[in-house]
Amino acid sequence: MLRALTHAALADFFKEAESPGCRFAHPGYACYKRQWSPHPHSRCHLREEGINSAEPVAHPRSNMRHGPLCLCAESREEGHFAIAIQPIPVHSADEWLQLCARYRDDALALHRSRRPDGAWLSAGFAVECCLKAAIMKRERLNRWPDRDSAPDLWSHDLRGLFKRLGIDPLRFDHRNPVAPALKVVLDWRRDHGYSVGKLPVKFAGNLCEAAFGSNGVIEWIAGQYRLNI
Amino acid sequence: MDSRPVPPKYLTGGQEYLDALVSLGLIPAFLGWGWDPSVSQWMLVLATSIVDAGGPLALNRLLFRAYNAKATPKEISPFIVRIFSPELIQMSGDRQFWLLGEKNATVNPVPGKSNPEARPTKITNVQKTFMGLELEMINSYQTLPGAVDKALAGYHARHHDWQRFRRNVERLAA
Repeated sequence: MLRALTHAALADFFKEAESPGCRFAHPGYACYKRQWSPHPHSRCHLREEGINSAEPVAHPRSNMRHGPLCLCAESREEGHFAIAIQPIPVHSADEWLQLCARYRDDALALHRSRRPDGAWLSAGFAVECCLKAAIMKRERLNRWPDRDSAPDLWSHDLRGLFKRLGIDPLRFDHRNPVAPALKVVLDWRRDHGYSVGKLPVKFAGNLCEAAFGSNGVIEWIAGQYRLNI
Repeated sequence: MDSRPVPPKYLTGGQEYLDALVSLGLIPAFLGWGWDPSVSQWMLVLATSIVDAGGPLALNRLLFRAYNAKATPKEISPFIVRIFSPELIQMSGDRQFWLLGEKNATVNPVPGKSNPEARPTKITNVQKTFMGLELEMINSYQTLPGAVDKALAGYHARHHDWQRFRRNVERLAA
């Protein structure tokens, strides 16, 4: 059941949400299709709920003042629907692999568009999702553990996730052709997403190659744990 | 931040690593041990401009190649070497970072009534937190003269240095 969204509700939802493709961060909000919209979709449920009457907000790239962010996905083949208001948790290895593929595609697309910061971040997330899928498969988990029961799995720390898989970098075979790629991937940190410095295009390209290329980390993990990405 | 001296065997291994890199033609703008609190482990921090020329993956391939060819010390796994671009340090605006590699740096006090014969005082330690790593002068190695200026000299200089290091490592492994 959809309910009218207020600015506060949107802010709560998007506080933790990540939009790696978007450069136009706005405190408390995510940017959808790089625009804020009132929105004019005639069949939008949110419009029917009177969302347009909410207090207008300004998009950081626009001088115009618009209504709140519209969550309609008009261009989707399935038709008009609101993107899930509550995050849907991942519960299976296949779902982690879906996320992995999504972040991989994002990273490669952003790299092609010469957006190295987003490409860097997405490539790291892709590896993280792949690792979590491998952990589920290795440990034969039939659901993703709660944060209380396995806090180390609720982490972006790739080094920790590799260790959970039984891969200790210091004991890794240094002659393995994957070793340099593994080293580059291990240098990725979630915190880099908060850095305002400009990342060189070459660095992001190298991380994409280390993650997705031949002799890359994802291909190697997929081979080890028979994952279909 | 309390001082955390690196164990002597690490310090010796790092010096050997520095010598090996220099003999292969890689002159670091900075080399020193940094404590990584997120993994509770010592990491060898290497700042070199050739990472901008070759990229981190290509540079790591060469470092692994040199390690496997026993051209760098066995104790220093490339997995514990964190590589940074000097440009990143410049961008952070922290020029005092380079003091970490200046073992003979001194400060000149201003002479005053209480201290009329002020003499230069040697700096014994400098502490910095850089990219989550806790660095100290006492855990760092003396930067070779002119290495920082050369690292920031521009595209052609770093490209030349990259080619030289690549050729040396490839010759070694051949």
